[in-house]
Amino acid sequence: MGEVFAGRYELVDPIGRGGVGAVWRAWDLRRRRYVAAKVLLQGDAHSLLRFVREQALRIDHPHVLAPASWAADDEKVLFTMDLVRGGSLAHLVGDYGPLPPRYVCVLLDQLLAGLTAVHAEGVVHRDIKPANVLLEATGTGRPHVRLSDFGIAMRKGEPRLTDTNYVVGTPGYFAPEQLAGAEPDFPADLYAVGLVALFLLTGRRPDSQTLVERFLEYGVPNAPQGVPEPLWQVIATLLNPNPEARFRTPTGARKALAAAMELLPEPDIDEEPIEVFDQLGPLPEGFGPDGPVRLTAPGGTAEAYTGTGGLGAPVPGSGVRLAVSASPTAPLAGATRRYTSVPVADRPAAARKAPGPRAKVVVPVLVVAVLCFAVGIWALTVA
Amino acid sequence: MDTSSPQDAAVRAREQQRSWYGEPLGDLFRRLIGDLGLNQARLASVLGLSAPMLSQLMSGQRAKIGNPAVVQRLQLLRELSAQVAEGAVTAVEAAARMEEIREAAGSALLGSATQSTGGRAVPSPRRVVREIQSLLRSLGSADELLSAAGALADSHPQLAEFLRVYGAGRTDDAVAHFEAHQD
Repeated sequence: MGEVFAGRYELVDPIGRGGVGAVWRAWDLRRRRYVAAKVLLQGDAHSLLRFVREQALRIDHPHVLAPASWAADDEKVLFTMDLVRGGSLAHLVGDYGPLPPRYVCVLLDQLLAGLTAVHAEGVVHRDIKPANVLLEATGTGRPHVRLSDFGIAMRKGEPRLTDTNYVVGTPGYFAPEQLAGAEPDFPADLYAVGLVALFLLTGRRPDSQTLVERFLEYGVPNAPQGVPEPLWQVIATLLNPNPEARFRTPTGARKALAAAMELLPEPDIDEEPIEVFDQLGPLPEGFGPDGPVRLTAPGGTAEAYTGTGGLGAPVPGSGVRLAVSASPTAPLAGATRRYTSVPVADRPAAARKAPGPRAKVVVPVLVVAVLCFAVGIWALTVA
Repeated sequence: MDTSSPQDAAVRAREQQRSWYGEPLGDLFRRLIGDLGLNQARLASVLGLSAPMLSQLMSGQRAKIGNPAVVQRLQLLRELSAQVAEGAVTAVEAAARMEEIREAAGSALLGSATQSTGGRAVPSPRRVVREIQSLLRSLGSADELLSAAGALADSHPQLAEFLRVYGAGRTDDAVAHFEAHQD
């Protein structure tokens, strides 16, 4: 059985790494569903700062994957998001190589729609790249992208908290003005979308530096191999080294994209269909579609663990860790694990406490927040 | 795809695979897994395929490897596995070589971790200088750094200059100093 975090989230298995910490599949005991949980294991201030920023962001849009809720215990913090199962655009291109232009248009249109919502909140994402654009597992149906990982996103005009803060990002998906150290701004995200578009159409990592040089020397370069001319007109406008010469908004880019799509040739009927697989794999032993499974007797029939939803968070007063598990990386013990649901009457009194943050949780978080502010103010005065 | 049964489709896919890749991919992948001491997940990762895609190719649910970079990596792995079978390459060397193959041909993108530009091959001198400056100034004020530089001036003039330039000088001077001392 997995570790239960803050009395609410049972960690199931690791499903990836984000910019900060590990991402786990987790069972939400309260809402009784699987979620993705980003867990920060170390308390170093820099990561924590990113973490606090990321979890503070709430954007509700079908093509954005933003944090839904958060929790903390003595050593770690965690925030949750919808569980997105289809892998990322990097996986998709790994499997299929260059994607058909019409398919790419659908992906880009959704990515730009998500970005519109992000920019509408005044937020610059700053880390758009194939691995951060996730996909729902839609099979051979219409794809559905979710823009994720707001670990280095910033509100436009917000002061940088530390001098080193702005050097984070992903090599190869920086806009030229970002590399030059300009203040974070929306057109940089549009540039990154242009690079993602090239990656999807060519199947290889775009060479941003060479592109910039060509632009500066000869103006708009010719369409790279595999990129249809009408689509290239749109992508080249995204990739203009001069941020002023790009589309002003993601919506502008979407309109141009829709017009370009009209001019694309019909898809090849012989093409094998693109299928967005479920990349998460089966649940490990001990978990079923309805959550953790408890064995009544060795070799006996398994039944779904009903959780404690109606009873409030089952938090023993002595600590927030409920489950007995060596560490989240320890193999999940199957039949040998001891996980018996305690009759309500036998529970320690503390277990019936109403859900909600406790002083034990609130105080460290407040201390951390104050610390972050202090670091920020200090950095500003020193700079 | 026409109206034939899934079994027929799988048989046909395996025939196509034989003509494209020399043998059905199920056989080929299983041999690579055996020769190179891999499992399916590891083979998928070296090739740059997702696990479900590898499984579809092996079972003939899908005939063709769509990504040319994967075909290239597959070819490199086959050569490697032949060398291992001949005894020309040791297991340790093979493991290192597989790591290279995995990194080859644009697969770097598959890593999902965000890296800091500190890991970039060539960060700009100005950025490096700023990092050094902020590190030094977190250790002591400009005055302290200058007095430390004074103390070192006779015994270690170059270290003293370093402290003076990065700790208390103008950024442009520090960049010039950095560039002058770069190999």
